[in-house]
Amino acid sequence: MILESVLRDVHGKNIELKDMDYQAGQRVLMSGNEAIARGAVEAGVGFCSSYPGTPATEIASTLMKWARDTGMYVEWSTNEKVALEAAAAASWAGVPAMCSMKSLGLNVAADFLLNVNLSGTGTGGLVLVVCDDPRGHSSSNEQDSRFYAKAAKIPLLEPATAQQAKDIIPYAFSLSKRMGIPVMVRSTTRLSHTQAMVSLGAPSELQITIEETLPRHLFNVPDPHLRNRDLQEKLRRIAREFATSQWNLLPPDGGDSPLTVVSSGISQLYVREALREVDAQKVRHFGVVTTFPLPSELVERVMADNKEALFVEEVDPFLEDEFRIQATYGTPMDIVFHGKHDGFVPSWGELNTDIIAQSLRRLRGMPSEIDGERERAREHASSLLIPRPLTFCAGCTHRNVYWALRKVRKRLDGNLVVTGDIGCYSLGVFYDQAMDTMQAMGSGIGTASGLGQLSRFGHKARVATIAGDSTFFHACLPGLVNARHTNADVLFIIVDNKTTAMTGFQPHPGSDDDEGHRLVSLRKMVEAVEPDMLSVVDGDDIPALIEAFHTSVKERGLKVVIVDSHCRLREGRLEDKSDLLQRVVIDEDMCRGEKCGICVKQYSCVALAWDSERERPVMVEDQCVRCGACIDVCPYGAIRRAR
Amino acid sequence: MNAEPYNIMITGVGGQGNLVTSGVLARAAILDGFSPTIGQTFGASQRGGAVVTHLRLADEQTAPLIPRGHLDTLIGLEPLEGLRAAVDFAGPRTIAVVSDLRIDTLDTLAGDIRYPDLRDIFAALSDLCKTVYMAPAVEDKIMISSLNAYLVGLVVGLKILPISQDSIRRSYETLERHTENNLRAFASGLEDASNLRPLSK
Ligand code: SF4
Ligand code: SF4
Repeated sequence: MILESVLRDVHGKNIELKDMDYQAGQRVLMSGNEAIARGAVEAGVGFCSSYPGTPATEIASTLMKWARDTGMYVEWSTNEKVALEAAAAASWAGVPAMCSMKSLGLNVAADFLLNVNLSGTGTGGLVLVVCDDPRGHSSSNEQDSRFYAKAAKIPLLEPATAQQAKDIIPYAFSLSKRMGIPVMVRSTTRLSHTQAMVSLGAPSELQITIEETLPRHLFNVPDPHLRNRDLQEKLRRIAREFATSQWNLLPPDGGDSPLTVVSSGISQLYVREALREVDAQKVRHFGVVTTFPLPSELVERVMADNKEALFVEEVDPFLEDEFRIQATYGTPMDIVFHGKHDGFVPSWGELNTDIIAQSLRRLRGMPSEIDGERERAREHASSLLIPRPLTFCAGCTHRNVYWALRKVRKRLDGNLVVTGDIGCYSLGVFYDQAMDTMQAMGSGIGTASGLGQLSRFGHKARVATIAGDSTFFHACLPGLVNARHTNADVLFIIVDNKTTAMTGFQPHPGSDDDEGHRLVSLRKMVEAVEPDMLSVVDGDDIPALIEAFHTSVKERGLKVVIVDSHCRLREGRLEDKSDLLQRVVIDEDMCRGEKCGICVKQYSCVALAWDSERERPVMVEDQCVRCGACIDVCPYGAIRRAR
Repeated sequence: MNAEPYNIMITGVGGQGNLVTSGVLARAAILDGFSPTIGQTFGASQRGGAVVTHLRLADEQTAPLIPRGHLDTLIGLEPLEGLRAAVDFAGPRTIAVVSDLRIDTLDTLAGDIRYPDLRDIFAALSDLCKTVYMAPAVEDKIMISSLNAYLVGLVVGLKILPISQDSIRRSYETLERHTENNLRAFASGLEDASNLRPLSK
């Protein structure tokens, strides 16, 4: 019966609404993110806010799917800071509130976090889930967000498995409610996106007692230092609680084992497998889940009589440093520490079983397992491999924007700087280096606003910047206002496809299909700052794009071009209208073939391929969305609509 | 986690049904009493990039990625991506079933880089794996779009996996989309397996 329902209900990656029928005790295949969402349901969370970002997105999107059944309020907030503020407010009013975000999101929310930690949360409790992305698979940086827990002096939990990710959420709430401060749960890409079996607990009925009066003194003045003092006292209490916590994986007591491997989060799984592989004798494993504040009493107990420790964690030596600090006071620990500082474990990138097995072998002076013949076969095979680079989808209007910018750059003899932002269009850094910079959300307009002041010092290049619609609302508004107010010379290109395409089409304030929400007009927001020039151009129309960019970037002051953009992936999913359009064809007689090749080799729509034998471009019919953008790319009029 | 997990890898290009396939196999494995762990590379799947799924069968959650050289079964939906995975993960016990249906890259489309010769790819695969099967070419459109189920049929027909044929069929039967096509492709894979011989070394 149970297995039948496993089959019936959890086919495919996403869990459907009906999963809420699941009874306690059932085992279900879930990703770490889905497990966290389920944990929120079991904890009786009433309010969840988030901003989409890989690898955190599915926590809130799963809760959103379940919202009708659970009665939970779930929102995509405009950015992570607003999300955390909204969730804290719910907590103040007595509603259990969770806020999920990716690593970089916490940078945005940090300002509020480092205030509310002192002011305190409410009777609802507040849990902040942060998903780090070691290696930066889907991020503009690599960062270890655990330092925020230390900076804010709030407790930090790092579950090791999907099961634990679910189970720890109710505990995180109980801790937050008792201590009156936010609790941070940290996941990483491999925990969030790995699916494994999870035994379910019972969903909690929503039991919300609204506090009509907010907690007293939700501000830190006039004595923030005393708040800081009180927070530290709370931390000491939490450290004692963590010392007896069931979450940590403890090694068997005593013995004369010379080496203890200390892991955090999902690294626990790497260590377990590596220990089996290396078959290292007498090595103990201490899997820390309650990472901060360090449960010092427990650490002292576990590490007593140890000679050596190896720290395994992603990314920075957070736990390692906490242990090192601990070793300098209290009962002295006579232990040699190995880890990131002495290079036994890499301090950047993702870890895996192989890396840890290698660290153990090095530490134990065991030879690394290398099979010469196999290595040669590997080398030979590698020499055959060619890369598979990412690019814009067929007919993507972002490609047209960069193509137009490239033309404009030529017309300006190269005197054009394009600062960029975060989204699908970030691929512009790879497209003929059309985009020169990419940092945080909203940094495009911010840096452009600085560059736009430099003509007074002889800076000659014209300045353009590009951002998407979701990013516009998330973090571009202050930059835009700054550019206007200071009269920076900037062309701001907004590629508006009305969705958060990068993370799977979450709606945002400017989306026109966001049921039950009011549309906030991006154009009217722009008009409100009164740019010197404003135009709206169809993203399929390359000549119009070139014209709009060229005429405006030459002028002084703030110019804005809103590009009416199309996400082909989303269109293809909603309703494929391309059949209604005339086919786009290449006229063999007009085409200059190998003398030209511009459409395939420079413009590079993936629906255009090169036939190397005939030295001619060919249309890949089943890829082409018939947008017709390439018609204007061909200088010889060889690409046209079929008649 | 005392016994070593059984390690399956599915490789291909975005849009080839990689994640659906790992889901089907994982759920079949659950029916057979395993606790599967599915680790995957992601993000690129919608934009033409390579997709790799690690499916590990054990009795509890394992590390998400298969260690180097510990791959048991490689299901390659695309030859170049099959080889890429074999370089990183194949070892002395790897059995590979790989399609010869090539999918161009941006550079091979543009004619800037040549797609490697299929014979070279399969020869290199043979050097890296214990046994390699080249999946028979499929031609009709439905079979190409259900290539994943066809390859699973082959793998099951060759009796490579520790998951029962019955459970896999039941798993396909409960798919929400393209159930018929998948079942047909799975069945013809099963059938074609009886005539399939490994590539000689
Ligand atoms: S019409 Fe041209 S630009 Fe548009 S999808 Fe087809 S080949 Fe690409
Ligand atoms: S751009 Fe025009 S002339 Fe040049 S190769 Fe393409 S179709 Fe032929």
